[in-house]
Amino acid sequence: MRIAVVGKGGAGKSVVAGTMARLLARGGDKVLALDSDPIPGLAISLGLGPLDTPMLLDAVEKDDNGRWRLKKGIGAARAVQRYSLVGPDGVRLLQFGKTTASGLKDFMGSVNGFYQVVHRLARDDSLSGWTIVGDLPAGPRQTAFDWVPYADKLVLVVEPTWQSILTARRIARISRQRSGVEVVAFGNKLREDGDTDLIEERLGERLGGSLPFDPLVAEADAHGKALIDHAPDSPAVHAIEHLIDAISRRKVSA
Amino acid sequence: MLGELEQEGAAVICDLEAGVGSLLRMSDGHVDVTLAIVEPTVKSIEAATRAAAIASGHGKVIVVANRVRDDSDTELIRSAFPDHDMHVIPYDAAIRRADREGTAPIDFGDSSAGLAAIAQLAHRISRSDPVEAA
Repeated sequence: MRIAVVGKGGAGKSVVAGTMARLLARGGDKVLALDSDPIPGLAISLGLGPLDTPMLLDAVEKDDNGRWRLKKGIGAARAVQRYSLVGPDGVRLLQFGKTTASGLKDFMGSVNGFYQVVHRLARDDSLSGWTIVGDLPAGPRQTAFDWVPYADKLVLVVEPTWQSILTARRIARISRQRSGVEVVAFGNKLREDGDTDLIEERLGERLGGSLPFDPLVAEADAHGKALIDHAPDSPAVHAIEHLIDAISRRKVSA
Repeated sequence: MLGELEQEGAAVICDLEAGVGSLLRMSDGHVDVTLAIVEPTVKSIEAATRAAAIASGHGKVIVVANRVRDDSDTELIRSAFPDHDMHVIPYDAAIRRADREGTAPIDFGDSSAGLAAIAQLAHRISRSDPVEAA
């Protein structure tokens, strides 16, 4: 199963992606978490804390035309094996790095290497048994520019606000232009009766799962902790377990 | 485009995308003041720290602490930006409801604490030269 988590800023993508990755790993999956957001998020939600490292700097070199390419002998599997970081529950994290005051220019090699790795993931037989969970930056841009060619499932995190729903609609439309991708909408921060209907009506599709507003998520975020470490038995963690059940058609929830 | 819009008596307010992508493409003189909006979470503070560092090369930066529920929220953000001017907007259910209804918060109700804080911020920026006012 190869999942990408998308949505508007603040919708809860990193919390959903990080918690899914940890739960799947606890269930016995070999999990690779991919972070293509230049702003910190996934490492924190995985329980690794803020982490800026551009992980693929040593994996790349420039060709004769000055373009970045993966070094000879480094395919997707080797890049994961050699350059990813092993986090809690054995989840492996691969990220291209985080924006600094000078932008991305100091580690464009890592960004380019990451893009090339994600394009090879699905074709690399030695990774065929792996579960992939990708956390994307806010908005539709990376979906449109083919940053998730590996994904067979797209989890669309949506809040019950107009802005969040409009963004989700655009991402869903762009994603469906690629064949073989199942889009699953997940309602987050639902607070009142009618929030599910509101999202489903305006989004134009049924929710595959939902998460009521849970102050424990805000608490974990305030402390910079992984939700699954801060509140392992919270309604939010259980809702994410049910989401995994729904999209994998198997049971990880108790 | 921002640099070409300036004229006497006009105010240009530009709502940038999440993150720092647009900010990185901005040049000196494009803005008088940048508002770095930050929530009381580690992730938001991480993002705003980067945004404030980039924006400080282009002029005045005001850190806007948003969705603040109590003093500990204010303190968390203040401690991350000890040297910045800061403006606090309290968490306000009316703004959330306006977002839910697809309505402008300013049209939604007149007794909103969040809206009052935003009005105060606007006044603070516009009453004189923004650099002085901040």
